[in-house]
Amino acid sequence: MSAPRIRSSDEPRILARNERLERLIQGEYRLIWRLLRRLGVAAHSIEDATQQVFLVVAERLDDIQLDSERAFAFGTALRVAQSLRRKQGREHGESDLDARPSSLASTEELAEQRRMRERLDLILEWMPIELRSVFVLFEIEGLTSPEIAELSGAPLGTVASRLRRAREQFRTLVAERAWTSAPMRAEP
Amino acid sequence: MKDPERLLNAGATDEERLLLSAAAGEEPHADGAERLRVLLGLSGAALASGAAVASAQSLPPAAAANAVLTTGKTAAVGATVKVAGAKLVLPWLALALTGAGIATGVFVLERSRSKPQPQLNPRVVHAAPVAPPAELAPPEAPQAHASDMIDIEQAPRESDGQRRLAAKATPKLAHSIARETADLDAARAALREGSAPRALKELDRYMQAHPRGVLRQEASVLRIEALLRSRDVARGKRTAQDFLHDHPDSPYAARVRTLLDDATRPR
Repeated sequence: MSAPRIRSSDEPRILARNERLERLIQGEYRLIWRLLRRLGVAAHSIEDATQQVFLVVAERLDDIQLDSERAFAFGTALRVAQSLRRKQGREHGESDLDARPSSLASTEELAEQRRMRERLDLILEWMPIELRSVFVLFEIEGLTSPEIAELSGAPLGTVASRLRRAREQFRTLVAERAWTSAPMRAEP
Repeated sequence: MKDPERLLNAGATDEERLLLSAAAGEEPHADGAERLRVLLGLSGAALASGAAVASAQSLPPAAAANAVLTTGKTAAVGATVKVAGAKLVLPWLALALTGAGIATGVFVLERSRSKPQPQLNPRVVHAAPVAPPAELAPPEAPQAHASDMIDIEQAPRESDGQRRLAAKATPKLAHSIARETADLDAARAALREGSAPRALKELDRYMQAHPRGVLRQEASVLRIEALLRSRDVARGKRTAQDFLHDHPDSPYAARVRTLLDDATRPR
């Protein structure tokens, strides 16, 4: 089977599409990666999961309104995370090899950071995904409530309410050392 | 509406700070975005003329590589293209990239030669799902939700699976939170339906079942709201003031103040 030739008349549209994708990758690859990680995607799956998100966006780009790519990617990331978590089950002591530390830390510091991240992920596992995503985006990624509202399509009041609840749950779970009793995943 | 201070900036305990800082310090590999670009056909190596890429699969790999590298026109790689009414889908992309895969890998490695880079994972570069799984269909347009400044927000629902698990003999916390959320949902539903007395009954039930519940602050706020809507406004105000006295830094403090302000405003 021979692949079809690309007409020169298609090139401007293709260029425009590629520009949109490139802008999205430059602006959001890191955020999507980090969000997926904190939504429970295992370290060994994180790059594939991130690629999946952007592949879905690329596949549907023609249907996405201009300047709505970010929100679309965010919604897709939530779905990818939920789908992968159902499949991957609980994994303990997974490697962080797909991540890199952001500073030149000693081996002990790196090990300590990894332990803390594992605890954090165990705590976040307790939260419903709507609260978890708002908490991660606000407390870890530094987005404002209006930005989160725009990403998620939820009203600002709903975002504020979810953030309040998420913060309360987080603080209580930390106080109760919830990483010592991980929640069981629902069976697929 | 002003955002609260982030926990890392103010108010976090030492343990909370350690946990949140550890997450803040985790970054993707720099190559990840570049591998994605290759996959989508956005990197320099994959940008080729449509003719070159289209014929790549019929050439020996080396020749295909040369065709990709030497041509300067932009291709449809990574995009869906409507040609003669038919859609060019990602499987074709996978085939074309496989044919030019050697060149792609060499080109990218050459570009990054100046700094140490982990070896490209061929599985990642070549992996191109035929179509996203049905469960990854794009999200529907978000439903509009009423602002919860006055009304009760519809709480996120636990899955049936989580509720079933919570009912089994699981560790204490595993049982607790899923049940607590479900019990508070009942109180919220009553308030939404305008039945403050029923909401108060559900909240009494919650307190009996979870005297040291994780969500007891949330339960207190719901009780305040129910009392203020019922005939016992005076008790609602006292409960609100007690809450603010006991939990001045609670994430719910601003909401309780709003409820109090609304209750004391002359009608």
